Amino acid sequence: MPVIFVTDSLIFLLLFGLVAFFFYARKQEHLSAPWRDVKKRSLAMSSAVVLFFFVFLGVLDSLHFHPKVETDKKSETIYSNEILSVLDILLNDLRLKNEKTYSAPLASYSFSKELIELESGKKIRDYPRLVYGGATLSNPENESRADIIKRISFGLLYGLLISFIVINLIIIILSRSRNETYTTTLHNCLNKKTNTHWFSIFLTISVVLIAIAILYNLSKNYHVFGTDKVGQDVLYQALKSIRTGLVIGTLTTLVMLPFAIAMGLMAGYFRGWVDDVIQYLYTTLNSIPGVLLIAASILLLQVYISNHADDFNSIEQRADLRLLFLCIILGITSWTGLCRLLRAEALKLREIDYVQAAKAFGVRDYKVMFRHLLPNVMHIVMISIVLDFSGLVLAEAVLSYINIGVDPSTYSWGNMINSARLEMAREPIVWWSLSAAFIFMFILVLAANLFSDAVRDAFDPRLREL
Amino acid sequence: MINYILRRAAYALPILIGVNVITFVLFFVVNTPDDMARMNLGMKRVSEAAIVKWKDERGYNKPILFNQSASGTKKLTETIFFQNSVKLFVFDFGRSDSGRDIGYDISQRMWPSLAITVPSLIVGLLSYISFGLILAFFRGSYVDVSGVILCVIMMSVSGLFYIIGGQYLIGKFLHLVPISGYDTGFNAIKFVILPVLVGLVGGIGASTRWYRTIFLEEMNKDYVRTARAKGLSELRILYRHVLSNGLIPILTGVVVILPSLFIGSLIVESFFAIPGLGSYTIDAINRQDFAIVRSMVFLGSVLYIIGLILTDISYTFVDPRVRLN
Amino acid sequence: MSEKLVQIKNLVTSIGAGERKTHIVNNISFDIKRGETFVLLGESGSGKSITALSIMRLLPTAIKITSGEVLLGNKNLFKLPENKMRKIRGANIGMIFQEPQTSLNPVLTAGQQISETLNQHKNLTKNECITRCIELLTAVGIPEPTRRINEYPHQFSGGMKQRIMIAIALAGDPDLLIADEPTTALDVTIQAQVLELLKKLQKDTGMSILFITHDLGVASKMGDRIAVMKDGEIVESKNKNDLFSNPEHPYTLKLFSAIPSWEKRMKEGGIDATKRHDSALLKVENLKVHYPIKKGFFKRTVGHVKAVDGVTIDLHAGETVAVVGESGSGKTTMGKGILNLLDITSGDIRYQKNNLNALSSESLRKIRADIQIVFQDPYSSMNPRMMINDIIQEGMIAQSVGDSQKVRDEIVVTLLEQVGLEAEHRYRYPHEFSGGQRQRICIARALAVKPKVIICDEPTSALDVSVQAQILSLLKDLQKEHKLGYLFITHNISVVEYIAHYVAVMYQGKIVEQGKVEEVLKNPKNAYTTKLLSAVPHIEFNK
Repeated sequence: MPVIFVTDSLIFLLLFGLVAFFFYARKQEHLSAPWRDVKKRSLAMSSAVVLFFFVFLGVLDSLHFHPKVETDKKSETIYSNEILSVLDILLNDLRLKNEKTYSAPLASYSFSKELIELESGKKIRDYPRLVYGGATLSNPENESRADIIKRISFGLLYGLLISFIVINLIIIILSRSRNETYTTTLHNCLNKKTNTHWFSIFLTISVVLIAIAILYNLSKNYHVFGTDKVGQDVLYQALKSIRTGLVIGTLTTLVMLPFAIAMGLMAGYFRGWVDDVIQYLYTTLNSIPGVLLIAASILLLQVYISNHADDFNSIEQRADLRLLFLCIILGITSWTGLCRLLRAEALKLREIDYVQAAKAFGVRDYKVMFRHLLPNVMHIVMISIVLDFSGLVLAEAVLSYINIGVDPSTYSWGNMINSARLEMAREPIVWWSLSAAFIFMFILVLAANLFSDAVRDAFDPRLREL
Repeated sequence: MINYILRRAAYALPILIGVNVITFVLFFVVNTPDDMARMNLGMKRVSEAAIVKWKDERGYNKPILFNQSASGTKKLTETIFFQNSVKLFVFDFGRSDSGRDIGYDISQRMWPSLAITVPSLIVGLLSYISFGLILAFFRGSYVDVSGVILCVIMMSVSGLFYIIGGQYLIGKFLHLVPISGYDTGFNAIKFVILPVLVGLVGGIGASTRWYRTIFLEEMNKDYVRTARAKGLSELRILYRHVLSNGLIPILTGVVVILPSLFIGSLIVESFFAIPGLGSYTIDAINRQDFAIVRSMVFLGSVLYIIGLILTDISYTFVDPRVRLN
Repeated sequence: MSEKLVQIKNLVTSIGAGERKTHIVNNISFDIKRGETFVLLGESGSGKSITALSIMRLLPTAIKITSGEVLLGNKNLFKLPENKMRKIRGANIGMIFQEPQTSLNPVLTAGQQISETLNQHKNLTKNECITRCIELLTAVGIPEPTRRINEYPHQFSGGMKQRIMIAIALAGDPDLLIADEPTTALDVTIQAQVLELLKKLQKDTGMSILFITHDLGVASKMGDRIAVMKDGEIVESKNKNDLFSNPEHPYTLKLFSAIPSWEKRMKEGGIDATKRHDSALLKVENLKVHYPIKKGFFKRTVGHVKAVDGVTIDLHAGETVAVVGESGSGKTTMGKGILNLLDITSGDIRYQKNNLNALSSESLRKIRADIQIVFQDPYSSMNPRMMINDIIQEGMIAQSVGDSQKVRDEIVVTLLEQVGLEAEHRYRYPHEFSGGQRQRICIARALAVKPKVIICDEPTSALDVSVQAQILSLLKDLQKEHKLGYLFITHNISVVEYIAHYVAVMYQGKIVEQGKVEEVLKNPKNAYTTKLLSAVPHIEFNK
């Protein structure tokens, strides 16, 4: 039985909008030409592939439902109260194979000593074997290294095989659509003679698929990134946090975009009292430290939730609402930057000849803004969107740290870092939760930064002939 | 000049009022004074009398925005909003909900904040400008390309990583300086080194790139071509022409944030246990101490507006075109 | 002295690599003698600026010298290492550029920028340096040099900035001064002064000048020998008198014939001033546009900048009234004020008996179809993100011309053909067209709403001479066909000679003289008009 969270519906709305925009942009020369430029750059395309995988995982994690409960009665179908997502099903093993407490990556033994009773009846304090980690090994000290190496090698092979298949599929599709032979397309792609930089796309796809295959193979018998305090697999946590990061990066922008564009353009175009009011608004908002605004709003939400506790069906719904609210608040605190940029640009554009010509024709104001100002500021908007994305993802981690981020029950990199940090004084140190969170965040943000660099270069009108 | 400052200060008034209104709304829409009293008094069952007493002591016994029962202008003035706000404008912050003198606390805690932010700013500026200049000078070469890539990579790493990593490195391996805490006077120096270093490394990526872009833009301008036609060396062109013009946007960007140096970085202070204004604010938020929060918000806004004014003024100092008009 | 100072041999510069390599300068050779002024004459894209930059080895990174040599005396400049070339730049060869506004460093004083050259190439003490700076400023005609040496570029006017540039270039005592369109951005009267200055300095110092320009009048005034450039090649190179009395190359001939002038107008069938028996289409009375200057804490108005200060002018159907003036005269402000594109302070603007000021905004909207405008800059007058079809139709839709999409499309096709373009161009974007073609599209756009009056705001000032000729010719034809009235704003007297029936001379917001073109231009009564007319560089030569 499907469950739709508010954020889920917004995500799909966004995806829809992106696809629609894609089809619209194809027809507009001034939008499709820069994108063609982006497609030529190797780094941009590699980043795009990585981003695609992240988005794919995030989307899978946004399809929620109540799983069926196994019963004997054939007539009824009972659904459990639990809410799972499609990603949960894929990662079922990771999700369910919980240990008791901490364990190091690829370990077969728990991280802390316990009182174990030996067969002889004697009790010693030693590291117990894990329930799932290294479960197939009878003698882990000797065998685990070889087993790990074996699994990695097989993973490598599987990965190569799957990449080979996928890449060839793509080449076949490409050659069909271009009416070329397979060899021609292959030759062009490998020699980087194509319009889109397929070579780097193929390379990145292979790397990602190989990594996935290796991780998959290792996960069958080990916890690749170890387990956290309550024994949950850290890799699972990191993967589930992807959705949170993506949501914060994108929904926030969705919230603030209409405001920023409308206010910025109006302020610059109409000037006068409209400009004064809007400037007053954003100066006032800007002078309140953002953290305070967010903190206050989250507190507001918490009180609201505790007062209206009956309206919510589940912890997950409450957490989801908090996530949504965080996005809205982040949006409200961040629209001022873009608004100011657009206002400055609108001030310049309103004096430009073709706007004056439109006024000389008697074209009405809203049409002038829509037809002449808006398309000519889209590059600033696009650069802003992509730029803000990485900032927001990083900000989430910080906000969770000071307890005004997402709900503690939501999977997020910020929460992972936060809980890990509280345990940092422990000897020896538990480093794997932190590392997993940092690594995943780094990959996503780096890909987004590289991609946004290419977008910015391609859309900067000073660098284009337009 | 004086006229200009006065006019800007006058414009600041409605903004500060607006800020106050927002802060009030945020707090009191959710929390009634009764809730606040209960939270502060902490006990499970709190008597009505205790609540009333608590509210009386702090002036929360009046209506929030509008007093029906009073007469005339007192309808507006005998309210929590008015009473609380007016004092702010004379910088009388009053007492926190736990009874401490906010003004005193602020005056004590701003020094640690400054001890971190001022050195960070100076060291940061010097380093980032130098790096930006170097990359711009070697534009297009391997130095430039690898430098830019390094910047992007460093930008993509979360700031938390630098903080936690730095603390771990120094704490576990190098043992050069303490990793958190604070002391007064000259002893403060050893507590300040790590936060400043961490801040420096964390900001390298974005700042160097931004400064590099500014310098590159200047290098493409006509007056640089004239300078080359005079036979000047690239190095001289860089520091005499490009730097002096590039400093205009850079410095004005810096001046905006100068006033906020007092408040310090909320994050850095939390991690490094620096008793500055940033951690003061975070604690207040966590404790829901409204008196402190509204004071800090007000102070923050005032400083922000001062920053805006300073930015405009700084234009007149660095840019002769503005100065002599 | 006719010894050769500089010899350029087989210079080739190109851009791009491999298959996409294109030559910008395609194998040119010429030499410059000591003490002479050599003019490179050509339109935009001819490669003349790139030639100059190649000599100095100051090319932008995308453009490279492919082959050739430049000999200064007997040194090949292309073979010098960069540090030796730097000793040549500023010392043996100086260069001044086109845009004085941006060519000086805004944060350094005039004195500092001149001293830089002195310190780089000469060994002077600080005091000697200051003295020399003052000498140079005096030589280039800056008054009060001792005071002004410490002033910043923005405190000087355009003409004075260019003089400072000349001082900077002269500071190294160069043998050759390269002047890349040094007066193109200056007003006509200032241009005359700067050209005089250059000639005087040349006589005093004996340096050679490589002068680059697109203006034939300027070329004839300055040049001893002139080389005509087209598409990176020198098509004709002669001494001045020979070139002007006997041009041979077809391109040179085409260039000469494109210059607007009274003679050309007569040759094409003189357009006489129409008898003004109809009542005026457009009647402007005492138009004032004043901008308040606000000072003090309460921003009190302490005075006004009088951009337009009481202008009265008439326009009848089928005639061209030219408004001539230099920058700051208020002519563009007047044009925009008539169209209500900016607010006017006072005055009557009557169109066919309707007082435009008194109309409601709705009625004003309807009248807008009758009065249209064509702008100066072909690059910013069209939205780069819109197709030509939509650009031309925008006005039609706003003014309800044409009842359906189909009708409007047909009108667009007709218009494009009328202005000399093709029907299928309507599906292209502005950046795919040249400057001249864009201007044609703008004219088509204005015509789309069937106007009676078109305000032409310097429509050909940004175009090459040959393209300008075509556009002016087009405007003339359209006027004849549709009986359009043109209010033609320009700073170029030759264009006025060619196209206008009446002319009004504007200076500092006022019209100082107006009347029939023949009368005003042949017998100017006002002192400013006389000064303006005498400053225009005409082609002079000895047969």
